[in-house]
Amino acid sequence: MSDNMQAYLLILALAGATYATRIGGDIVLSRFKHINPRVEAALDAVPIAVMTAIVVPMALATGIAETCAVAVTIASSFRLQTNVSILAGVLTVVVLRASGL
Amino acid sequence: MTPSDSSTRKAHFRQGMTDILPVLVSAAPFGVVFGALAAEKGIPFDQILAMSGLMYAGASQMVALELWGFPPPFWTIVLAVLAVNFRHILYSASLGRKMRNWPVSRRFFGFGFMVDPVFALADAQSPTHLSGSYYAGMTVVLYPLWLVSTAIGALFGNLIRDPQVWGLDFILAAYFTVLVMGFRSRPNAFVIILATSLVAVLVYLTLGPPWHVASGGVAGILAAAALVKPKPKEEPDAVVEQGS
Repeated sequence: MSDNMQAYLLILALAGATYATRIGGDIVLSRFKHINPRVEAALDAVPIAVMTAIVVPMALATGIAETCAVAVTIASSFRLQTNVSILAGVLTVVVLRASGL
Repeated sequence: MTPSDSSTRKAHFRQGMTDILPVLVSAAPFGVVFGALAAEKGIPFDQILAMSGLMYAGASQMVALELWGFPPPFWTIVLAVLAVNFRHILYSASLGRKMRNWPVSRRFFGFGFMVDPVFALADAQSPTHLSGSYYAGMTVVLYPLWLVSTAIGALFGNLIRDPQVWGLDFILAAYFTVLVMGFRSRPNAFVIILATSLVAVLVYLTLGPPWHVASGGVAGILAAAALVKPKPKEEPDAVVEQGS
């Protein structure tokens, strides 16, 4: 098998694996007519829990600059628009990293 | 189909395109960085584009890239990608509940484009029934942008020598932070965030990435399940939004 074929085979496998995770949860869950309230609450919590899990190492376990920048982003998000809050966070991290933190 | 159905759909479609705009600011640099790193690794241009076009999953593409070799270790990469993408199973179980009125074929097609911000925005769009037009509006903007930014990175990647200096690696984290803040009024949000953070940090520092995402996420949803109070009486059915 050529290197090119091999690479494409892998890419197709990765695409398939990714797609499987994207429909897997729905395929399992759509089999149930009635959903238990605890399962319902768990599923409602998915966005907040997973997004938090993605961010938290950057917020707490990367460095002082990143921790401060996440704090600035959180503070901004109470008042400011999404893009402005993101910009505030990114500017914070750029300035603090440049200053050697 | 009545005229008002059609105009509602158009409005939803446009709203989807508008709501995804802030995401472009973080997705585009991410795509450029992916394309640049992939080209630097020596992966041919067509294969780089195929990864973005067929996988359409930035974080796992980065992980695949890190493990890539000549020849690439097949099962190691497949397993790593599955681990990074495990969170999609939760997304699909959660969001699928709001897509029950979609035709099965459309559901299966739509799930192919469920990336993190699209899931979060779709989840916030309606408490019960997700509009297909809204979902399509987000996707027709974000998917082409992902391909174009990947291509730009692969072709002109040398423009960005060090993403860290410009804080490009931080944009995505900042975006997710804002998303989480948007969900803060949901039931038990604070406890869920606390449980998730605790487990995610612990796992990140011990097992290391990418396991902190799945384990932290599961910790958060278990906390949510544990906090359920006895069910209040049924509310009357909300108005069902049809033909989306």
